[in-house]
Amino acid sequence: MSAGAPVVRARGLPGDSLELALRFALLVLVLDPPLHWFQRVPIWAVASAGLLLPGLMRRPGLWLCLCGLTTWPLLWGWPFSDNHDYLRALLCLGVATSLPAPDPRRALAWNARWLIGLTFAFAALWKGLLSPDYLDGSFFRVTLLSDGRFHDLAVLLGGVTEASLSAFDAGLHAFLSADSASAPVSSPWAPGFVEPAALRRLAALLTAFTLLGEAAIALAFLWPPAGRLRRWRNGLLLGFGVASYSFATVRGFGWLLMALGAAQCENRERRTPLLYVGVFVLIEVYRSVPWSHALVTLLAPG
Amino acid sequence: MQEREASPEPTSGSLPLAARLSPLLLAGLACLQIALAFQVGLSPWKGGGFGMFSTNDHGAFRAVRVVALEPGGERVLHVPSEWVRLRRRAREWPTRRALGALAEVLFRAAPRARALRVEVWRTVFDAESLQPHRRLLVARRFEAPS
Repeated sequence: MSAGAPVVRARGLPGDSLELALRFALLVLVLDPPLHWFQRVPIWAVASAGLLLPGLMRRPGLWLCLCGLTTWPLLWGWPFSDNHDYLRALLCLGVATSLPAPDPRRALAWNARWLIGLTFAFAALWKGLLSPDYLDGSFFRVTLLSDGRFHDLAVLLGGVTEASLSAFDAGLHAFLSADSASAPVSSPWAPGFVEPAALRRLAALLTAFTLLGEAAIALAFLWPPAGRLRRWRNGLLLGFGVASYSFATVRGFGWLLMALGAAQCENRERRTPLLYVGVFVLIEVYRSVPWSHALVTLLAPG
Repeated sequence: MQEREASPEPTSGSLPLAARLSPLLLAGLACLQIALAFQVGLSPWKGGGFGMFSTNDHGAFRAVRVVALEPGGERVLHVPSEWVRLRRRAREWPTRRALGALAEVLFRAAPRARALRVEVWRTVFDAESLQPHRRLLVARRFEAPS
Protein backbone atom coordinates (compact mmCIF):
# COMPACT_ATOMS: atom_id res chain seq x y z
CA MET A 1 0.00 0.00 0.00
CA SER A 2 1.42 3.38 -0.92
CA ALA A 3 1.99 5.81 1.90
CA GLY A 4 -0.48 8.37 0.57
CA ALA A 5 -3.38 6.01 -0.09
CA PRO A 6 -6.40 6.57 2.15
CA VAL A 7 -7.37 3.65 4.34
CA VAL A 8 -11.06 2.99 4.62
CA ARG A 9 -11.67 1.75 8.11
CA ALA A 10 -14.94 0.74 9.65
CA ARG A 11 -15.08 2.60 12.96
CA GLY A 12 -17.48 0.39 14.73
CA LEU A 13 -17.32 -2.34 17.26
CA PRO A 14 -14.04 -3.81 18.25
CA GLY A 15 -13.29 -6.22 15.46
CA ASP A 16 -15.33 -6.14 12.33
CA SER A 17 -18.94 -5.03 11.96
CA LEU A 18 -19.37 -7.26 8.91
CA GLU A 19 -18.25 -10.22 10.94
CA LEU A 20 -20.77 -9.43 13.67
CA ALA A 21 -23.57 -9.16 11.10
CA LEU A 22 -22.62 -12.49 9.53
CA ARG A 23 -22.28 -14.24 12.89
CA PHE A 24 -25.65 -12.84 13.98
CA ALA A 25 -27.34 -14.14 10.83
CA LEU A 26 -25.73 -17.57 11.20
CA LEU A 27 -26.80 -17.73 14.84
CA VAL A 28 -30.40 -17.03 13.87
CA LEU A 29 -30.23 -19.74 11.21
CA VAL A 30 -28.93 -22.25 13.75
CA LEU A 31 -31.42 -21.32 16.47
CA ASP A 32 -34.53 -21.02 14.32
CA PRO A 33 -34.35 -23.52 11.48
CA PRO A 34 -37.38 -25.03 9.71
CA LEU A 35 -39.59 -27.59 11.43
CA HIS A 36 -38.91 -30.76 9.42
CA TRP A 37 -35.67 -32.57 10.22
CA PHE A 38 -34.69 -33.01 6.58
CA GLN A 39 -34.88 -29.24 6.14
CA ARG A 40 -33.44 -28.41 9.54
CA VAL A 41 -30.36 -30.66 9.76
CA PRO A 42 -28.60 -29.45 6.60
CA ILE A 43 -29.11 -25.81 7.61
CA TRP A 44 -27.79 -26.56 11.09
CA ALA A 45 -24.74 -28.26 9.66
CA VAL A 46 -23.82 -25.56 7.15
CA ALA A 47 -24.61 -22.61 9.42
CA SER A 48 -22.69 -24.19 12.30
CA ALA A 49 -19.69 -24.73 10.03
CA GLY A 50 -19.87 -21.06 9.11
CA LEU A 51 -19.95 -20.05 12.77
CA LEU A 52 -17.09 -22.31 13.80
CA LEU A 53 -14.81 -21.67 10.84
CA PRO A 54 -14.42 -17.89 10.43
CA GLY A 55 -12.75 -18.23 7.04
CA LEU A 56 -15.81 -20.00 5.73
CA MET A 57 -18.20 -17.35 7.01
CA ARG A 58 -17.11 -14.78 4.43
CA ARG A 59 -17.35 -17.09 1.45
CA PRO A 60 -20.29 -16.38 -0.87
CA GLY A 61 -20.49 -20.14 -1.56
CA LEU A 62 -21.49 -20.84 2.04
CA TRP A 63 -24.32 -18.33 1.79
CA LEU A 64 -25.42 -19.55 -1.63
CA CYS A 65 -25.58 -23.02 -0.12
CA LEU A 66 -27.65 -21.67 2.79
CA CYS A 67 -29.82 -19.79 0.32
CA GLY A 68 -30.51 -23.05 -1.52
CA LEU A 69 -31.20 -24.91 1.72
CA THR A 70 -33.65 -22.26 2.92
CA THR A 71 -35.29 -21.79 -0.48
CA TRP A 72 -36.16 -25.32 -1.54
CA PRO A 73 -38.65 -25.82 1.35
CA LEU A 74 -40.41 -22.65 0.15
CA LEU A 75 -40.76 -24.07 -3.35
CA TRP A 76 -41.68 -27.54 -2.07
CA GLY A 77 -44.37 -26.18 0.23
CA TRP A 78 -45.41 -23.18 -1.84
CA PRO A 79 -47.24 -21.05 -0.74
CA PHE A 80 -47.78 -22.42 2.76
CA SER A 81 -44.55 -21.42 4.47
CA ASP A 82 -44.61 -18.69 7.09
CA ASN A 83 -43.55 -15.20 6.08
CA HIS A 84 -40.31 -15.29 8.07
CA ASP A 85 -39.27 -18.40 6.13
CA TYR A 86 -39.19 -16.23 3.00
CA LEU A 87 -37.30 -13.51 4.82
CA ARG A 88 -34.75 -16.06 6.06
CA ALA A 89 -34.03 -17.20 2.50
CA LEU A 90 -33.84 -13.60 1.27
CA LEU A 91 -31.37 -12.74 4.03
CA CYS A 92 -29.11 -15.61 2.87
CA LEU A 93 -29.41 -14.43 -0.72
CA GLY A 94 -28.68 -10.86 0.34
CA VAL A 95 -25.48 -11.94 2.09
CA ALA A 96 -24.44 -14.22 -0.79
CA THR A 97 -24.79 -11.40 -3.32
CA SER A 98 -23.21 -8.77 -1.05
CA LEU A 99 -19.99 -10.60 -0.23
CA PRO A 100 -18.55 -10.44 -3.78
CA ALA A 101 -19.31 -6.69 -4.00
CA PRO A 102 -16.38 -4.22 -3.84
CA ASP A 103 -17.45 -3.17 -0.33
CA PRO A 104 -19.32 -6.15 1.16
CA ARG A 105 -20.25 -4.41 4.40
CA ARG A 106 -21.93 -1.54 2.65
CA ALA A 107 -23.65 -3.84 0.17
CA LEU A 108 -24.99 -5.95 3.03
CA ALA A 109 -26.15 -2.84 4.88
CA TRP A 110 -28.02 -1.73 1.76
CA ASN A 111 -29.67 -5.13 1.38
CA ALA A 112 -30.64 -5.29 5.05
CA ARG A 113 -32.10 -1.79 4.96
CA TRP A 114 -34.24 -2.58 1.95
CA LEU A 115 -35.35 -5.96 3.25
CA ILE A 116 -36.51 -4.35 6.50
CA GLY A 117 -38.15 -1.41 4.74
CA LEU A 118 -40.02 -3.53 2.23
CA THR A 119 -41.11 -6.07 4.84
CA PHE A 120 -42.69 -3.35 6.93
CA ALA A 121 -44.07 -1.53 3.88
CA PHE A 122 -46.00 -4.59 2.74
CA ALA A 123 -47.09 -5.39 6.30
CA ALA A 124 -48.45 -1.84 6.63
CA LEU A 125 -50.06 -2.02 3.18
CA TRP A 126 -52.01 -5.12 4.19
CA LYS A 127 -53.12 -3.57 7.44
CA GLY A 128 -53.94 -0.11 6.19
CA LEU A 129 -55.40 -0.74 2.77
CA LEU A 130 -55.91 -4.36 1.80
CA SER A 131 -57.49 -6.04 4.82
CA PRO A 132 -61.17 -5.44 5.35
CA ASP A 133 -61.19 -6.12 9.08
CA TYR A 134 -58.05 -4.43 10.40
CA LEU A 135 -58.92 -0.74 10.62
CA ASP A 136 -62.29 -1.34 12.27
CA GLY A 137 -60.48 -3.03 15.17
CA SER A 138 -62.18 -6.39 14.83
CA PHE A 139 -58.94 -8.15 13.93
CA PHE A 140 -57.30 -7.35 17.25
CA ARG A 141 -60.51 -7.84 19.24
CA VAL A 142 -60.87 -11.36 17.86
CA THR A 143 -57.15 -12.09 18.14
CA LEU A 144 -56.98 -11.00 21.77
CA LEU A 145 -59.85 -13.36 22.54
CA SER A 146 -59.00 -16.34 20.33
CA ASP A 147 -55.19 -16.50 20.18
CA GLY A 148 -53.73 -18.00 23.35
CA ARG A 149 -50.55 -15.94 22.98
CA PHE A 150 -52.58 -12.77 23.62
CA HIS A 151 -54.81 -14.00 26.44
CA ASP A 152 -52.59 -12.62 29.22
CA LEU A 153 -52.63 -9.23 27.53
CA ALA A 154 -56.41 -9.38 27.16
CA VAL A 155 -56.77 -10.16 30.87
CA LEU A 156 -54.17 -7.67 32.08
CA LEU A 157 -55.08 -4.64 29.99
CA GLY A 158 -58.39 -5.55 28.36
CA GLY A 159 -60.30 -6.42 31.51
CA VAL A 160 -61.39 -9.79 30.14
CA THR A 161 -62.21 -12.53 32.62
CA GLU A 162 -61.15 -16.15 32.24
CA ALA A 163 -64.84 -17.09 32.12
CA SER A 164 -65.42 -14.73 29.21
CA LEU A 165 -62.41 -16.11 27.35
CA SER A 166 -63.73 -19.64 27.81
CA ALA A 167 -67.21 -18.60 26.62
CA PHE A 168 -65.80 -16.94 23.49
CA ASP A 169 -63.64 -19.97 22.80
CA ALA A 170 -66.56 -22.37 23.20
CA GLY A 171 -68.82 -20.30 20.94
CA LEU A 172 -66.16 -19.94 18.27
CA HIS A 173 -65.26 -23.63 18.43
CA ALA A 174 -68.92 -24.61 18.04
CA PHE A 175 -69.26 -22.28 15.07
CA LEU A 176 -66.12 -23.49 13.34
CA SER A 177 -66.88 -27.17 13.82
CA ALA A 178 -70.48 -26.88 12.61
CA ASP A 179 -71.16 -28.42 9.20
CA SER A 180 -73.73 -25.82 8.32
CA ALA A 181 -72.70 -23.17 5.85
CA SER A 182 -75.04 -20.65 7.37
CA ALA A 183 -74.58 -18.51 10.45
CA PRO A 184 -75.31 -20.15 13.80
CA VAL A 185 -78.97 -19.94 14.69
CA SER A 186 -78.53 -20.06 18.44
CA SER A 187 -78.71 -16.75 20.23
CA PRO A 188 -76.58 -15.57 21.89
CA TRP A 189 -73.91 -17.22 19.81
CA ALA A 190 -71.46 -17.47 22.74
CA PRO A 191 -73.45 -17.65 26.00
CA GLY A 192 -71.57 -16.02 28.86
CA PHE A 193 -69.26 -13.96 26.66
CA VAL A 194 -69.11 -10.30 27.61
CA GLU A 195 -66.74 -7.96 25.82
CA PRO A 196 -65.48 -5.27 28.18
CA ALA A 197 -65.10 -1.70 26.95
CA ALA A 198 -61.44 -1.89 27.97
CA LEU A 199 -60.85 -4.65 25.42
CA ARG A 200 -62.16 -2.44 22.64
CA ARG A 201 -59.89 0.37 23.78
CA LEU A 202 -56.92 -1.99 23.94
CA ALA A 203 -57.70 -3.34 20.46
CA ALA A 204 -57.98 0.20 19.08
CA LEU A 205 -54.64 1.08 20.65
CA LEU A 206 -52.93 -2.01 19.25
CA THR A 207 -54.47 -1.39 15.84
CA ALA A 208 -53.13 2.16 15.70
CA PHE A 209 -49.77 1.39 17.32
CA THR A 210 -49.01 -1.52 14.99
CA LEU A 211 -50.05 0.21 11.78
CA LEU A 212 -48.36 3.52 12.57
CA GLY A 213 -45.26 1.78 13.90
CA GLU A 214 -44.88 -0.41 10.84
CA ALA A 215 -45.52 2.47 8.44
CA ALA A 216 -42.98 4.62 10.28
CA ILE A 217 -40.34 1.87 10.13
CA ALA A 218 -41.01 1.39 6.40
CA LEU A 219 -40.63 5.11 5.78
CA ALA A 220 -37.50 5.46 7.88
CA PHE A 221 -35.76 2.54 6.17
CA LEU A 222 -36.85 3.25 2.61
CA TRP A 223 -36.27 6.99 2.76
CA PRO A 224 -33.13 8.09 0.90
CA PRO A 225 -30.03 7.70 3.09
CA ALA A 226 -29.39 11.42 3.10
CA GLY A 227 -32.81 12.18 4.56
CA ARG A 228 -33.45 13.08 8.16
CA LEU A 229 -35.66 10.07 8.74
CA ARG A 230 -32.70 7.76 8.81
CA ARG A 231 -31.75 8.81 12.31
CA TRP A 232 -35.03 7.29 13.52
CA ARG A 233 -34.41 3.90 11.99
CA ASN A 234 -32.71 2.10 14.84
CA GLY A 235 -34.90 3.55 17.55
CA LEU A 236 -38.07 2.59 15.72
CA LEU A 237 -36.97 -0.95 14.89
CA LEU A 238 -35.56 -1.61 18.36
CA GLY A 239 -38.70 -0.18 19.94
CA PHE A 240 -40.85 -2.37 17.71
CA GLY A 241 -38.86 -5.41 18.80
CA VAL A 242 -39.12 -4.57 22.49
CA ALA A 243 -42.85 -3.82 22.36
CA SER A 244 -44.29 -6.20 19.76
CA TYR A 245 -42.56 -9.40 20.76
CA SER A 246 -43.42 -9.05 24.44
CA PHE A 247 -46.72 -10.80 23.71
CA ALA A 248 -46.60 -11.80 20.03
CA THR A 249 -43.94 -14.42 20.56
CA VAL A 250 -43.11 -14.91 16.89
CA ARG A 251 -39.50 -15.53 17.82
CA GLY A 252 -38.14 -16.41 14.39
CA PHE A 253 -39.43 -13.23 12.78
CA GLY A 254 -38.19 -11.05 15.61
CA TRP A 255 -34.72 -12.59 15.52
CA LEU A 256 -34.44 -12.15 11.76
CA LEU A 257 -35.42 -8.49 12.06
CA MET A 258 -32.81 -7.96 14.76
CA ALA A 259 -30.12 -9.65 12.65
CA LEU A 260 -31.07 -7.46 9.70
CA GLY A 261 -31.12 -4.42 11.97
CA ALA A 262 -27.56 -5.11 13.09
CA ALA A 263 -26.48 -5.67 9.49
CA GLN A 264 -27.77 -2.29 8.29
CA CYS A 265 -26.01 -0.24 10.97
CA GLU A 266 -23.69 2.44 9.67
CA ASN A 267 -20.05 2.67 10.61
CA ARG A 268 -20.63 5.60 12.89
CA GLU A 269 -23.32 3.70 14.85
CA ARG A 270 -20.66 2.02 16.89
CA ARG A 271 -22.63 0.40 19.65
CA THR A 272 -26.05 0.05 18.01
CA PRO A 273 -25.50 -3.53 16.81
CA LEU A 274 -25.13 -4.52 20.45
CA LEU A 275 -28.60 -3.12 21.14
CA TYR A 276 -29.96 -5.41 18.43
CA VAL A 277 -28.21 -8.32 20.13
CA GLY A 278 -29.81 -7.23 23.39
CA VAL A 279 -33.32 -7.23 21.90
CA PHE A 280 -32.54 -10.59 20.28
CA VAL A 281 -31.94 -11.97 23.79
CA LEU A 282 -34.98 -10.15 25.16
CA ILE A 283 -37.24 -11.82 22.56
CA GLU A 284 -36.15 -15.20 23.88
CA VAL A 285 -36.69 -14.03 27.45
CA TYR A 286 -40.23 -12.95 26.53
CA ARG A 287 -40.89 -16.40 25.08
CA SER A 288 -39.22 -18.52 27.74
CA VAL A 289 -40.09 -16.69 30.95
CA PRO A 290 -43.83 -16.83 31.74
CA TRP A 291 -43.73 -13.25 33.00
CA SER A 292 -47.14 -12.19 31.73
CA HIS A 293 -48.85 -15.23 33.22
CA ALA A 294 -47.10 -14.60 36.53
CA LEU A 295 -48.41 -11.04 36.41
CA VAL A 296 -51.94 -12.28 35.72
CA THR A 297 -51.69 -14.66 38.67
CA LEU A 298 -50.26 -11.94 40.92
CA LEU A 299 -52.95 -9.44 40.05
CA ALA A 300 -55.83 -11.90 40.12
CA PRO A 301 -58.48 -10.93 42.67
CA GLY A 302 -58.47 -13.00 45.82
CA MET B 1 -1.11 7.12 7.04
CA GLN B 2 -4.17 9.09 6.14
CA GLU B 3 -7.37 7.73 7.60
CA ARG B 4 -10.95 8.47 6.68
CA GLU B 5 -14.24 6.95 7.65
CA ALA B 6 -16.10 4.94 5.05
CA SER B 7 -19.02 6.81 3.47
CA PRO B 8 -22.20 6.02 5.36
CA GLU B 9 -24.32 4.11 2.89
CA PRO B 10 -24.26 3.05 -0.71
CA THR B 11 -27.03 4.07 -3.05
CA SER B 12 -28.69 1.46 -5.22
CA GLY B 13 -26.94 2.88 -8.26
CA SER B 14 -23.50 2.09 -6.85
CA LEU B 15 -24.28 -1.59 -6.38
CA PRO B 16 -24.20 -4.22 -9.11
CA LEU B 17 -27.59 -5.64 -10.06
CA ALA B 18 -26.77 -9.02 -8.51
CA ALA B 19 -26.24 -7.37 -5.13
CA ARG B 20 -29.74 -5.90 -5.34
CA LEU B 21 -31.48 -9.16 -6.14
CA SER B 22 -32.78 -9.95 -2.67
CA PRO B 23 -34.99 -6.86 -2.10
CA LEU B 24 -36.18 -7.06 -5.70
CA LEU B 25 -37.29 -10.65 -5.12
CA LEU B 26 -39.02 -9.67 -1.88
CA ALA B 27 -41.00 -6.94 -3.65
CA GLY B 28 -41.87 -9.21 -6.57
CA LEU B 29 -42.99 -12.03 -4.31
CA ALA B 30 -45.10 -9.72 -2.15
CA CYS B 31 -46.83 -8.26 -5.24
CA LEU B 32 -47.51 -11.78 -6.52
CA GLN B 33 -48.94 -12.74 -3.13
CA ILE B 34 -51.30 -9.77 -3.15
CA ALA B 35 -52.48 -10.69 -6.66
CA LEU B 36 -53.03 -14.32 -5.65
CA ALA B 37 -54.88 -13.31 -2.49
CA PHE B 38 -57.35 -11.23 -4.46
CA GLN B 39 -57.57 -13.40 -7.58
CA VAL B 40 -57.50 -16.93 -6.18
CA GLY B 41 -58.31 -16.47 -2.50
CA LEU B 42 -54.83 -17.24 -1.15
CA SER B 43 -54.80 -16.67 2.60
CA PRO B 44 -53.29 -13.23 3.29
CA TRP B 45 -51.17 -14.89 5.99
CA LYS B 46 -49.39 -17.10 3.44
CA GLY B 47 -47.30 -16.64 0.34
CA GLY B 48 -44.60 -14.24 1.51
CA GLY B 49 -46.56 -10.99 1.23
CA PHE B 50 -46.39 -10.13 4.94
CA GLY B 51 -50.14 -10.02 5.42
CA MET B 52 -49.95 -11.85 8.74
CA PHE B 53 -51.58 -10.20 11.74
CA SER B 54 -53.65 -8.00 9.44
CA THR B 55 -56.86 -9.98 9.09
CA ASN B 56 -58.92 -12.76 10.62
CA ASP B 57 -59.04 -14.44 7.23
CA HIS B 58 -56.55 -17.23 7.90
CA GLY B 59 -56.55 -20.99 7.72
CA ALA B 60 -57.91 -21.63 11.20
CA PHE B 61 -60.97 -19.52 10.43
CA ARG B 62 -61.64 -21.01 7.00
CA ALA B 63 -63.79 -24.06 6.37
CA VAL B 64 -63.88 -26.54 3.50
CA ARG B 65 -67.21 -28.15 2.75
CA VAL B 66 -67.61 -30.93 0.22
CA VAL B 67 -71.12 -31.68 -0.99
CA ALA B 68 -71.99 -34.82 -2.94
CA LEU B 69 -74.69 -34.28 -5.59
CA GLU B 70 -76.50 -37.63 -5.57
CA PRO B 71 -79.73 -38.80 -7.20
CA GLY B 72 -81.56 -38.44 -3.86
CA GLY B 73 -80.27 -34.95 -3.14
CA GLU B 74 -77.23 -33.30 -1.64
CA ARG B 75 -75.08 -34.78 1.12
CA VAL B 76 -72.23 -33.14 3.00
CA LEU B 77 -69.18 -35.42 3.01
CA HIS B 78 -66.83 -35.85 5.92
CA VAL B 79 -63.20 -35.23 5.02
CA PRO B 80 -61.16 -38.02 6.69
CA SER B 81 -58.06 -37.04 8.64
CA GLU B 82 -55.83 -38.83 6.11
CA TRP B 83 -56.68 -36.07 3.64
CA VAL B 84 -55.94 -33.25 6.05
CA ARG B 85 -53.06 -32.02 3.87
CA LEU B 86 -55.30 -31.81 0.81
CA ARG B 87 -57.97 -30.05 2.84
CA ARG B 88 -55.43 -27.58 4.17
CA ARG B 89 -54.19 -26.80 0.68
CA ALA B 90 -57.75 -26.27 -0.54
CA ARG B 91 -58.53 -24.09 2.46
CA GLU B 92 -55.57 -21.74 2.24
CA TRP B 93 -55.03 -21.66 -1.52
CA PRO B 94 -58.33 -22.65 -3.13
CA THR B 95 -57.21 -23.04 -6.72
CA ARG B 96 -59.11 -25.27 -9.10
CA ARG B 97 -56.28 -27.76 -8.88
CA ALA B 98 -56.31 -27.89 -5.08
CA LEU B 99 -60.08 -28.26 -4.90
CA GLY B 100 -59.99 -30.87 -7.67
CA ALA B 101 -57.38 -32.92 -5.82
CA LEU B 102 -59.63 -33.02 -2.77
CA ALA B 103 -62.69 -33.90 -4.87
CA GLU B 104 -60.81 -36.69 -6.60
CA VAL B 105 -60.08 -38.58 -3.37
CA LEU B 106 -63.54 -37.93 -1.94
CA PHE B 107 -65.36 -39.44 -4.90
CA ARG B 108 -64.47 -42.81 -3.29
CA ALA B 109 -66.70 -41.88 -0.34
CA ALA B 110 -69.61 -41.05 -2.64
CA PRO B 111 -69.78 -43.71 -5.37
CA ARG B 112 -73.33 -42.67 -6.34
CA ALA B 113 -72.52 -39.00 -6.71
CA ARG B 114 -72.91 -37.41 -10.14
CA ALA B 115 -70.68 -34.61 -9.04
CA LEU B 116 -69.04 -33.03 -6.02
CA ARG B 117 -69.16 -29.38 -5.08
CA VAL B 118 -66.19 -28.17 -3.08
CA GLU B 119 -66.76 -24.95 -1.18
CA VAL B 120 -64.32 -22.82 0.81
CA TRP B 121 -65.80 -20.44 3.37
CA ARG B 122 -64.11 -17.70 5.29
CA THR B 123 -65.21 -16.39 8.67
CA VAL B 124 -66.30 -12.79 9.03
CA PHE B 125 -66.82 -11.29 12.48
CA ASP B 126 -69.50 -8.72 13.05
CA ALA B 127 -67.76 -5.45 13.88
CA GLU B 128 -70.20 -4.75 16.71
CA SER B 129 -70.96 -8.07 18.40
CA LEU B 130 -68.05 -10.15 17.06
CA GLN B 131 -70.58 -12.82 16.08
CA PRO B 132 -68.98 -15.00 13.40
CA HIS B 133 -70.58 -15.55 10.02
CA ARG B 134 -69.47 -17.60 7.07
CA ARG B 135 -68.91 -16.01 3.69
CA LEU B 136 -68.41 -18.11 0.59
CA LEU B 137 -64.94 -17.60 -0.85
CA VAL B 138 -65.07 -20.05 -3.72
CA ALA B 139 -67.17 -23.02 -4.88
CA ARG B 140 -66.39 -25.38 -7.73
CA ARG B 141 -68.24 -28.36 -9.15
CA PHE B 142 -66.40 -31.47 -10.25
CA GLU B 143 -68.11 -34.14 -12.34
CA ALA B 144 -67.72 -37.78 -11.35
CA PRO B 145 -65.00 -39.61 -13.26
CA SER B 146 -66.53 -41.74 -15.99
